[in-house]
Amino acid sequence: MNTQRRQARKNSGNMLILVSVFMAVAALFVLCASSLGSLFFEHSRLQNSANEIALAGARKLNENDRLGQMNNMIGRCRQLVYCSTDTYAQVDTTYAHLRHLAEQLAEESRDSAADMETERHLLAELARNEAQITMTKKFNEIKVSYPMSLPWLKVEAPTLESIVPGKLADVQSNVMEMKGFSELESHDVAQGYLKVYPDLKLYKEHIDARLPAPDNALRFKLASLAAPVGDSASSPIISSSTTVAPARAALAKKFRTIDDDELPSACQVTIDLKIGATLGASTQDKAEAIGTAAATGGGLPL
Amino acid sequence: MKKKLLAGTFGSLTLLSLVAGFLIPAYGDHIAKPYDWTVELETRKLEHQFDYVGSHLKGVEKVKVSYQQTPTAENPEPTRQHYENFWYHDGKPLGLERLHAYEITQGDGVSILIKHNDEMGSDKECKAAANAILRVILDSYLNKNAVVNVRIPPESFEKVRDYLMELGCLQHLPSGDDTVSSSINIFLQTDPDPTQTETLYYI
Repeated sequence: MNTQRRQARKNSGNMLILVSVFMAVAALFVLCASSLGSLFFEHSRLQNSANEIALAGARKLNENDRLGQMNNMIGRCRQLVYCSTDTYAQVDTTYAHLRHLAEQLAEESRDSAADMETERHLLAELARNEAQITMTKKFNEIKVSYPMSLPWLKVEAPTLESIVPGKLADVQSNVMEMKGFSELESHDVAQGYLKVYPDLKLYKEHIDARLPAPDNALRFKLASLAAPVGDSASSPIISSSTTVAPARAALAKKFRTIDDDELPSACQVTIDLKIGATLGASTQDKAEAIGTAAATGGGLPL
Repeated sequence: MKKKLLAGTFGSLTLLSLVAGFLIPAYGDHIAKPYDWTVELETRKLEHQFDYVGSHLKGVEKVKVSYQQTPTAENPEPTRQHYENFWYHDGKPLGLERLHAYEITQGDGVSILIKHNDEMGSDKECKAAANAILRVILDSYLNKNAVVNVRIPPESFEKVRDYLMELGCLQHLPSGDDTVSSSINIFLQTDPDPTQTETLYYI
C-alpha cells in the first residue's frame, strides 16, 4: 500500500517536469517562429517600401506629361525640318524668286531642331534630378518607421544604396507614325524606325531618327514611354475612351539603364536593411530590396 | 406697229431683267469674293505645354490650318479639309504635323483667313499667325495658286502686319537707281469688313 502511494507521488513529479520541459520547448518554438516570421515580414515590408519609393520617382519623371510632350514635339519638329527642306528644294528648281523666303524658313526650322535638342537635354537632367530628390524624400519619410528592438529581433534604419533612372525593355516611344510625306514615310520604314502593331505604328524607343541628307546631322532622339491606347481600331490613340498608362511597379529584370542624355521613363531603387535576429534565424542579416517602376504613360497629343 | 414695238421692247426688257436677276447675284458673289478657296489659320494657346522649372519652351501656340472651297450656289456647304497643324513658341516654329495633301485646284485663287481662338489674339498667337501665313503662301505658290488676300480680325491686324515685317516683309519697295521688284505681294485686309488694308512686299 505504502509502496503504491510512493510510486504515485513519484509519477506526479515526472509529469510536472515533462510539462515544464514541453512548455519551455513550445515557448522556444514560438519565439523562433515569431523571429523567423518577423524576418519575412520585414523583408516583405522592405520590398513594398522600395516599390513605393520607385513609384514616387516614376510619377515625377513624367509630371504633366512633359516626357510625352517632348517626344511628340521632337517627332513634329522632325517633320517641320523635312517639310521646309523639301519646300526649299522645290522652290530652288522651279521658282527662283521664292528662294530667299524658302531658305529663311528652312533655316529657321533647323534652328528649332537644335533648340529642341538642347531642351531635351535640359529636360533629361531635370527629370533625373527631380526624381532623385522625390525618391530620397520618400525614403527619408519611410525609413524612420523601421528601427525597433525586441528581445528576439533588432531592426535598424534602412539605407538607400542606389537610385538609377532608366527605361523598361520593349516599351516603344509614344510617338505615332507621322504621315503626309510619302518619301519620309519610306525613309522611316527603310531605316527601321517604326514598330508596327496591328492597329498602330509607333516610332521605336531609343532611336535617333535622323532625316535624309542634307539634314542628317540633326538629332531627333525619341525616348521609351508607354503610348496612350484607345479602343477604336480606326483611331487607336485618339478616341473617346483613350487610356493613359498610370505609373506602375515593374519587374526588376525588365529595367534597362540609359545614357545620361536620354529621357528617363523608369526608376530603380535599391535599399538595404540590417536585421538582427537573436533567436532561431541567423543574426545580423542584411536584407535587400529592389523597387522598379515605370513613369506615367504619354498623354493625348495636343 | 408702235404698240407691237413697245410690247416687244417691254418683253425684251422683262426677259433681260429676269435673266440678270439670276445671273448677277452669282457673278456678284464672285466680285465680292475674288477667290476660289479659303485657307483658314486658327490660332490657339496651349496651356500646360512644357510646363516645368527652367523650361525654355513654356507657352506654346498651335495653328490649325484647314482649307475650304468658296461656297457657291451648286455647293453651298463645301467640305473643310484639315491640312496641317503648326506648333510655335514665341513665334518660332517648333513642329509640324501634315495631315492631308494640299488639294486645291491649280490656278485657283486663295484667300488666307486668320482666326483666333480667344477672338483678340495674343501677341504670341499673332507672331505664330504671321509665320504660318508665309509658310502657307509658299505652299500655295508651289501649287500654282495666287494668294489673293490675307484676311485678319481688326483686333490683331496691326500686330500680324508688324510681325510679318519682322519676318522680312516691307511696307514700301526701296526706291533708288536699281530696279527692285518684290517676289511676293501680300495684300492684307481686316475681316469681315475690309476697313483697313495694306500691301506688304517680300523681296
